[in-house]
Amino acid sequence: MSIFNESTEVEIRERRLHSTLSYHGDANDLNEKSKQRALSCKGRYYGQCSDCAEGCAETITYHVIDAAVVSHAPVGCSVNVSNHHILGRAVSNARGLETHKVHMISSNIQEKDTVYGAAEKLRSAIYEADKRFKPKTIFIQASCASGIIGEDLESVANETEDELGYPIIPVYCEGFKSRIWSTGFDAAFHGILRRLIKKPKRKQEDLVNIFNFEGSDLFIPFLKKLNLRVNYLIPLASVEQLETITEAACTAHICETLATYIAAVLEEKYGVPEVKVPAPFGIDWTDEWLREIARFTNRESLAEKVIQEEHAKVLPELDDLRKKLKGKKVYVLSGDSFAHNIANIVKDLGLELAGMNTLHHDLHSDSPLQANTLEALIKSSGNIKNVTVCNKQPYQVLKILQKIKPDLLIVRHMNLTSLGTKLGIPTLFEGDANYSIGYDGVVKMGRRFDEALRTKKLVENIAAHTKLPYSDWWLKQEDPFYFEGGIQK
Amino acid sequence: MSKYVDRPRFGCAMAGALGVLRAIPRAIPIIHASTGCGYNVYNGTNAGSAYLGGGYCGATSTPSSNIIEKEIVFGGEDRLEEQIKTTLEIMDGDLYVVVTGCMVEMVGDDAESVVKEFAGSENPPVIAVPTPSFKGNSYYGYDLLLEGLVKQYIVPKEKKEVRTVNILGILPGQDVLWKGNLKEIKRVLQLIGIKANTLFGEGETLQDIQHSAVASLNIIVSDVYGSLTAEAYKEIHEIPFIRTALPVGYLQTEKFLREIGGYFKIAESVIEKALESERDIYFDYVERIADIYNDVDFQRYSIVVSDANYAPSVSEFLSDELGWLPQLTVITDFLTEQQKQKLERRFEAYASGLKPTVRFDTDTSSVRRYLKDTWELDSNQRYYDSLGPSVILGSVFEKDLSDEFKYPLITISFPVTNRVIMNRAYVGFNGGITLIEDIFTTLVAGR
Repeated sequence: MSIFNESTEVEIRERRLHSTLSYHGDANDLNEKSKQRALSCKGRYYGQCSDCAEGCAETITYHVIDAAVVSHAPVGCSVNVSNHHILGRAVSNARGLETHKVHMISSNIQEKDTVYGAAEKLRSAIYEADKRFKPKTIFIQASCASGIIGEDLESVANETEDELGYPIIPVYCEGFKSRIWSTGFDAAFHGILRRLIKKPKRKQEDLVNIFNFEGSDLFIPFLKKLNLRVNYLIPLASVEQLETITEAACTAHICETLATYIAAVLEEKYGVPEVKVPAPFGIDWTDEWLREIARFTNRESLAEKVIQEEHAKVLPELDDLRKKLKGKKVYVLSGDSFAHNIANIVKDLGLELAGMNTLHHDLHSDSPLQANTLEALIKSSGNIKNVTVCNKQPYQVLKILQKIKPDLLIVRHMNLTSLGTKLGIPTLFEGDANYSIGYDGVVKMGRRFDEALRTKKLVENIAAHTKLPYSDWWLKQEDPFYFEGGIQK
Repeated sequence: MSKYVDRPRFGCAMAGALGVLRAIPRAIPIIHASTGCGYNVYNGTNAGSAYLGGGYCGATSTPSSNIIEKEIVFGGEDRLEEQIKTTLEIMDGDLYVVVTGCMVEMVGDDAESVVKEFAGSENPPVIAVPTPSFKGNSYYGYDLLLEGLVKQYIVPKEKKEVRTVNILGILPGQDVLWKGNLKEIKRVLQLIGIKANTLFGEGETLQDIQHSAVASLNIIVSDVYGSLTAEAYKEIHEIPFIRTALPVGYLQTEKFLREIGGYFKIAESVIEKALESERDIYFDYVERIADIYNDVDFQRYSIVVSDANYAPSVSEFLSDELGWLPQLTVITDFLTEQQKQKLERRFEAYASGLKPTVRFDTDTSSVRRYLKDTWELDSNQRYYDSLGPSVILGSVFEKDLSDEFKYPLITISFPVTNRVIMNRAYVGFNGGITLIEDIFTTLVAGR
């Protein structure tokens, strides 16, 4: 069965990848249960809020250069635009591009529209976006409200596309459809695959697609060592760039959760091979990643030379860092499978991996040949205790952290970092997901851990004066997973 | 037909309600909505309100029913009931408030009847305030939430305290300076012997809200917001209300105190004495900038892009206190024709005799067009007079405009992502001094 089909929507992760949101045990057990598909996506009796597919889709659609976005939603869904401005501005400037401006309009669905439909409003918003921003493509983002009223986005897209003469791309990212917010990435990619990407006109043998989260520019200098060029996708890629991603020599990504869907489709439909080893985090994975890319681009001997040189370059400082960090326990809290990436650096720094929580877990990937990063992590670091899956849920994470008492915490999602601070644990925010790639990335993470340990003054001050919002009963409760299950089974 | 909005400068009704709950100590919100609503609101308002943070029980800690497709199809009341029950077990608070997202309102969940099952038990009170986001934005949500508290939580008091007032109209989060503003309003009223309950200001607790029906007057420091709450106080607790503009700087605050003083028939001598002392302090500071203002020529054209509370008051302040030339004011909220007319009148009696062009528009990219409309464009005239030097007081969305025209930008209204704001205010006497400080700090920053 092919991975891509022409249907308007891509299947949600719960059904497509059998994703789960709750697990506790160890890494081996999770890996085995995943293979047997022995975990389901249960709810919780008690829940705290988390992200949605629309928010994830925005991280892609808002950041395509020359694109505009019409959010077909009540105005409130767009409250977060200013954060996208910050990100777009900062990263485009850092990469030496023209300052990225987020071009978005909310269709402002109101009460009447929920009764009579809002197609007319959507159309007028699309034409207005065309007039104001002169884009080369427009994404229409669905919302809970547009999904419930059953808005026919396809018809509006087809009709306006005919009129405007450029792609109008519906993105089906209704927040209630999936508990796994990463479904929003798939939704945006599916829209792009359906309506934007073209067949290759030629092959660019030295071009590597890198799917990333609008991180800093570390891949260009890194792959330059292999005389390769980088096609950063999708944030801050232009429409033309997207049309031609099929011309690249291969596709890599910094996180399986982000991009295995589009990478698998690019391979299946357009013959662009996907790098099927884990992303370049930690020394061993970086070696393998370089070798795999070299294999697709006929640079094997050059890669071996680079690997040798890079090892020699970082080893002295790594030795030093290992001494400084010896005996410290670190806990990793991040999305699946980026948590595995971070965790794979831990051993290189001589730290003890005290536990790991991923915000969801896909029991398998889109293609059976794709990397199983959890298995790869077990291979490189051994079995890992205290492995859990939960979609943020600070009430639960708090209990886990209080039990494990790590010396350091590393987190990729905003606001969970301050939970560490409130508990008095020095916490690193891995917000720039490109920052720790490669050999230098290991060293940089080590330096950051060392710096975080050198003074804990802010952490101590805040921890000493923080009131946690939980009842005594919960703070004394032995089982962090007490509320797993719930009515939504 | 209502229209689209180019980059909204507000959240949904639920965001406004969550802003209020974020501000009330030991109030626990329970979101009945899809999983992403709570975090999206936090993410937008944390950064947008100059880094407000999640607080005691906000951000990712906010209890939420996280409904999915099943509940959209079959209804989510059972899930809400389960969520309330467990929230009462696990979260430590004194008041639990259910707020709702648009999707559960669309499918007809009745949160108000669900919370009835928790009434009269040993639990702290649990109330529901439906906040359907397709009916209004953060400003509406602020009002809905407070109205809900007035109707369902505030204890009736037969006996009113004279010269005790409640302050309405300042929105936590949506007004990025809310906490400092409330503090200063409380302070200036104290100067003429009036005790102000700002409901969630510094040091105030849930008890202050619970017992707010002792007030003998509600003051809404907003021309257009807070009606639902004020009407509910009036109807249920027999507290009348008056509306004033948001007083920014010396002149407006003097007017404000005279107005409130007049209402309570406070002796002229008391007001005069208070004003005299404040005036001395205020102008002792303001006089400091006379040197730099004149030495460098800091008279500017002003472009104000802000909400219905700030835009009129700040524009007037720039004209009548700073002696700037008010060029353009864009008010960025959803407003009725009647509200627009009311706000228009705020621009008609400047002491300077000047009047900016006033536009009402919710679209961010419209500001540029209005700016071009108010000034003749450069078409290679021999002696072209450009609109400058100018300063923009707006939100961070005005950054593009600021970059394009090279006008410095001072961010005063949501979203403000380029500043960290804690207890500063732009309201009152101290607020005027702080605003002057911020404006001129921006102008001298390159020196």
